[in-house]
Amino acid sequence: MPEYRLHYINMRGLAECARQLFVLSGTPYEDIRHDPQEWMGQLKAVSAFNRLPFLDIDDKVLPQSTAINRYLAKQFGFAGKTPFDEARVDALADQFKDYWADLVPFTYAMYSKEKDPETFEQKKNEVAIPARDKLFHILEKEYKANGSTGFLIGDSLTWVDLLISDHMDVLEGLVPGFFDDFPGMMNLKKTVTSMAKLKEWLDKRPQTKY
Amino acid sequence: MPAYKLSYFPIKGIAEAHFFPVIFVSRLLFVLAGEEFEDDQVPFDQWTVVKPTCPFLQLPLLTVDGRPIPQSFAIARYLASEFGFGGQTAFEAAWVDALADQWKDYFVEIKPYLGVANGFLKTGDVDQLRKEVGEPVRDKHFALLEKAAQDNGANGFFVGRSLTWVDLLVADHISVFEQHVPGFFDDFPAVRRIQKTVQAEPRLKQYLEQRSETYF
Repeated sequence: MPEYRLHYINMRGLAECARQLFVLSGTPYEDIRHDPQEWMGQLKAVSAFNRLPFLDIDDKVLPQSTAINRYLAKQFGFAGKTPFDEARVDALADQFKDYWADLVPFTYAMYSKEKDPETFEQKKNEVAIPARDKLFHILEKEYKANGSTGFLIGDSLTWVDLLISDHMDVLEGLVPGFFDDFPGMMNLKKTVTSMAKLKEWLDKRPQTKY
Repeated sequence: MPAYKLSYFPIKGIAEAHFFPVIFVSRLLFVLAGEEFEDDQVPFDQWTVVKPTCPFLQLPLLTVDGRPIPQSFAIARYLASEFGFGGQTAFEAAWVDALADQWKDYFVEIKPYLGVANGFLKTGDVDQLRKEVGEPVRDKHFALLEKAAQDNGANGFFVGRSLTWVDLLVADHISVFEQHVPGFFDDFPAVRRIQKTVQAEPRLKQYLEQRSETYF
């Protein structure tokens, strides 16, 4: 069994999907949460792409969160059951990435919600809600077309289910009821978060807002 | 063999080609594999009719025996895996993905300069944008791509010892870019070597030579 060390900071952010894949597969790993100052100072110089997260696998290193997620998902059986399903999972994950890029003005406001609640409200209405509607309309359609199995692709969990579910949890923490108009996705989140191993992790993981 | 259809907007000329690089990677993969595909260029005036039939309301779209795969990188990765250009091991495939994602980050950031440099965007000071956007963005991201290529032995491939789709992606991008901005990537010798490897690939040589006339 390889030795896995996942490097990030004390956030869910871009590393949470990978953490959940380790947990769901029952694979031991080191969940390293660097201090941001220490990162800027020393570690940046020695990591593969000068940025976090990255994954150590024995003596090898892998950067880029999406590549990490896909690699681990494939190793542990959460990537999709056929090459075609894998491609559909990839497509949804990329669509989510595009959505995340659309959200950038909102995410800045999100991190300073306490200091500047007015900008938060403004960006929520101007940026987050249209972006959400554009993506989640597609996700609802995919979920229904998949026969409402409880997952987005196929009849078992894939890594994109984890991405979406955690994102929903983060945003609902900031704006309660934010996804109430999307019953399929609400159901997805319920299915994912009630899986035994994951439920345990959600209770015991370091509690961070995002 | 499955029936492949690749759907996208018509691209005329180099300027537009820049903005849809992954279409060309997919086409290069079909050429490398010697596979046929239906080249479905959707005229703009047909888009309102075609759009609702697309799962993500977007192009490009690959259809495999009638089943759709959206999102350009998902398409490229799927075709590459099917045809043997996805990386020889799971770890190599992951590095191909990581490099492609790094390139994507670069591409998003350089677009404001790229668009003006190739005439796609009609306004903007090309020299100022080169200094403020083009060069810093290129240097930031291509330092990482160059390092990866060097760490792989500067052997003409980003990963392992054979062609993968990220070699095609980056090589094609810089070939087209340098038709407008010659020598823009001179500082990255290992990446340059990858470009040369792709250009010299026997199965692609003829296709690439024909293409340079019309970029299509």
